[in-house]
Amino acid sequence: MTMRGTKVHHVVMNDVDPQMLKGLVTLLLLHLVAEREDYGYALVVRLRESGFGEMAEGTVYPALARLEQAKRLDAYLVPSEKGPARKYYRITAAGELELERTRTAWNHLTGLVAGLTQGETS
Amino acid sequence: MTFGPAVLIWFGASALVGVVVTATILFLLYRVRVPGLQNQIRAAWYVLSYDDALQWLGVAGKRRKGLLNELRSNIADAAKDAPMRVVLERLGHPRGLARDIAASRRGPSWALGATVAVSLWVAFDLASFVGLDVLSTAIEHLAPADASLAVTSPLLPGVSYDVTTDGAGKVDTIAVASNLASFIVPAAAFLIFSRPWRALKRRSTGDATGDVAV
Repeated sequence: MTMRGTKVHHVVMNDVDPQMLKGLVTLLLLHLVAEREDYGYALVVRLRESGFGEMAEGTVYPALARLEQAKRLDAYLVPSEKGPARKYYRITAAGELELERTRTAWNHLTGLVAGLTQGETS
Repeated sequence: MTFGPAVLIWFGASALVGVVVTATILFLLYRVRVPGLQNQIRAAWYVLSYDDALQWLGVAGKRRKGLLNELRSNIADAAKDAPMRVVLERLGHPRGLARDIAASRRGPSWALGATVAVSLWVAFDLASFVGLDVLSTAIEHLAPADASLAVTSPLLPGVSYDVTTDGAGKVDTIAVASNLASFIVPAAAFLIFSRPWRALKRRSTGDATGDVAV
C-alpha cells in the first residue's frame, strides 16, 4: 500500500460511523485471530495498525468474550513476566466456518453497495 | 446511659481506621501493575468498579476471576502505549464494559445478595444500638424505681428491649431481643438481590456472537 493509499484509507475510516464498525468486529477479529493467535490488547493494536483506530477496547473485548462463549474462539493462558497471565485466543473449527460465512456475506454486500452507488454516480 | 465524647471519638477513630484499612486492602486486591501510584489507583478503581458490576450481573467464580485478570493484563499493556486517562476512556464505563461482556452469561449474584443482606443486618444492629441509647435516656426520666419493662421498638420490627431500673430510677440493665421478623428483611433482600431464579433459566443455544455478521 502506498503512502497516499494509507492516508486516504485513514481519512475514510475516521469518517465511518462507529456503529457500522461494531457490526464488523466479528469478521475482523476472526480474521486477525485466524491469521495469528493473539491476546486482547495486541488485537486492538493490530486493528489500529490496519486503520481501525476508532475501534476501541470497549468494543473489542466484549466481542472477544462473545466469540469465546459462542465457541468461535478458544482461549488459553500464557504466563507473563509482569502481572497476570495473558489470555490468548485461537480460532476454532466453528470460528473458521463463521469467518468464511461472514467474509462471503461481506463481499456480497460490498459488491451490491458498490454496484448501486456506482450506478447512481455514473 | 448516653454516649460521652470519648465514645464518639472512639467510634470516629474506628471508622476512620476501618475506611483506611478497607481502602488499602481493596487497592492491593485490585492493583494493576502500571507505572505511577496515581495511575495504579485509577486503574484499581476501574477494575474494582468493573468487578462490582460483574458481580451485580451474576458473573462469578473462575469466569469472573479470569475476566478481571484479562482486563488487568490488557490495561497494563495499553498503559505502555498511552496515558492511563486515554486507556480507561477507550475501555468505556466499567459498568458498560461489564454489561457487554456478561451480556449472555448472567447467573445468580450470590455475592451481591450476601453483601446487601449483611449490610442491612449491620444497619439493623446499629439502629438497635442507637435506639437502646435513646430508650435508656427516656426511661431514666419516666420509669419508676425498681421497675422491669418490656418495650417494643416502634422503628425496628421484631426488636424489643427488656429494661430494669434500680432503686434510684436509673437504668440498671437493658437486654435487646429480636425475633424472627428481624431476619425477614435481610433474608428477603438476599433473595431479591441474589436473583437465584437466573440459575433456573434456560439459556439460548443459538448464535451468541451478538453483533451483526453482515
